[in-house]
Amino acid sequence: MSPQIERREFLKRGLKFGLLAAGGSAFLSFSRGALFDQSKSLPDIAAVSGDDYEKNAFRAVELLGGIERFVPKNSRVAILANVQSSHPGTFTSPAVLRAAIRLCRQAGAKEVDLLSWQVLKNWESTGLARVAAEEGATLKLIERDEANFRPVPVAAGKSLSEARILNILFDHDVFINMPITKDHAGNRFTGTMKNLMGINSPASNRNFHQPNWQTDRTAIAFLDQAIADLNTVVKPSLNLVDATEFIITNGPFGPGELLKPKKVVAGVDRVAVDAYCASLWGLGVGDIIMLQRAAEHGLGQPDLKKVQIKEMSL
Amino acid sequence: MAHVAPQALAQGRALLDLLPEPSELGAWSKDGEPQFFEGEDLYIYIDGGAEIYQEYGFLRVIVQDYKSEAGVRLSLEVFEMRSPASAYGMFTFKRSPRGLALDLGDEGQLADYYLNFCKGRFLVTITALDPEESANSEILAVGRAVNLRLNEAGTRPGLVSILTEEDLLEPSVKFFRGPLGVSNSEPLLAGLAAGIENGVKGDYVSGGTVFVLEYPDAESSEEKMAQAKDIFSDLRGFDRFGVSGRVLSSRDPKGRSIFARLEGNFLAFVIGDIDRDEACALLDRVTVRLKTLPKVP
Repeated sequence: MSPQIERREFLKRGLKFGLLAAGGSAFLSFSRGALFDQSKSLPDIAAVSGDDYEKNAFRAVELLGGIERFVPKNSRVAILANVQSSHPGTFTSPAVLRAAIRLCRQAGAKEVDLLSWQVLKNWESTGLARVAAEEGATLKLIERDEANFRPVPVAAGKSLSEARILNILFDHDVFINMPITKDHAGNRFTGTMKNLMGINSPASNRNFHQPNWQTDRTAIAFLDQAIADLNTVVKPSLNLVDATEFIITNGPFGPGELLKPKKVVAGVDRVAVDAYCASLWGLGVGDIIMLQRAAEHGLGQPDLKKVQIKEMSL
Repeated sequence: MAHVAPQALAQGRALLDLLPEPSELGAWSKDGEPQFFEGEDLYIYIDGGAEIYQEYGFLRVIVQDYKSEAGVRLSLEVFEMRSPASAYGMFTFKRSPRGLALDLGDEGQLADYYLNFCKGRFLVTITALDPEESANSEILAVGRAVNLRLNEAGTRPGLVSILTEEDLLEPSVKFFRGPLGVSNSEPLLAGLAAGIENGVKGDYVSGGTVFVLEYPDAESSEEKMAQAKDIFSDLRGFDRFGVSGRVLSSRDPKGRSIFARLEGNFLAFVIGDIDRDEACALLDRVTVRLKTLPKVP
């Protein structure tokens, strides 16, 4: 299969899935509502803590308006979990993933697919493959072959001019982004926005890192800008973040110091959700270049004082 | 072995010899095939987090999981680094501020659910993959078995010795080989750490943290001192800037005091909730030792 996409097909797919062409830009939006709920009857962020992580996830989505707000009946749902490593506190909690799959089923989703170009070993050793099997979700492991990724221009990009998005994502109506929030040795923080590197091709992701493994401040700023740029072309329907137990040192791979807020955080606005999750271990927007760059792109609200947050303990 | 390029086979075989056999570990068996990654392929294994290893001087790694009869799982990673200083530096980067020091390898530490030790050019990390199951004795057994197979030793880089022992919080000591390690410990120094050859950091009971950054020559360190002066005097949020004798002082946006001093190829900093007299005393002790420092290999 050619990695290039025919313009006609690109436009057809784009129209079908909300890929909007505006001034040469492309934006793959799975979102079904305004960035912020206009009536303000619903919170922008729901954060639920408790020992039962599955229940926390259920309740967080409920506080956000219920799964039906995000998953229409008979829809095809793509879920992106983080399975980067099997070290504790580095991958999406199986309990939270189980809740997400059950919620999608409850909403009447026709198909629930877990998309990943990570290897099966990661899925098995984290217990996430077992959850998929038990809940009837399909684990779709994609080879890292560039033919499996589609070029998408990043019109607003400053570091990134073209993303290469998983072809298979275009076959879905709903995209649920399910990172674990955690430390990152490069840009200090991983959350909703950085998780989208999981739908971009590994070869493209490698370009986020400047050549020769430069690790100075310029290289980190480049990486953060590239992540923000990537987020301008794909907008998930829902972000459901595992903030139950995660590493706050030696990220993203670990092992490292574990923090256990036992929280599941849900929201549509990636910048606000990431700012909230970062605050769980004392990081502010000023500490994370990626959030500043995303805010400059207009991707969301970095100031938590301007965001309606609903917190609950079960 | 998974992910082995033909040219790397010899090195991979050498690392294979470091993996303990189940017979050495009692009721444990190897869980799956070992994985081997070399050079930039570390990106495949540590997706998105390989830079820090590369900065310290990564050569190759072998990874093997083990499983007990009761189903408890461990992951063993043996990293071969460029030099003993590289391995020691990565050890200090990865160790916990609250772990238990071990007499294992050159230096070792057991944390909640993982163990790190360095020996010569090697860094060994053993992680319990199910932290709710206590596996510390098993982690230690695997660590000791690997230690026996490593036939080399290293010493701490000389730069670490400039941290005077009195009131030093030992697990806080970190040895740096580039700006990423420094910026992870102290983002304020991210720009100043560009171009360093080495660096070291340690927390003191007094509330101050000492950072020493080593540059290739005096011209570079003087340039960075001028840059530090610009940052501490002009940037928004910094206040109380002053110069007294050879020491720059300021206060950062978080309200922490900062003191900086130039000494040959080095810049020394004291940062934290600490008064001027204590900070200057720390800087004096550090700079005395800097003058007699051997070069890090």
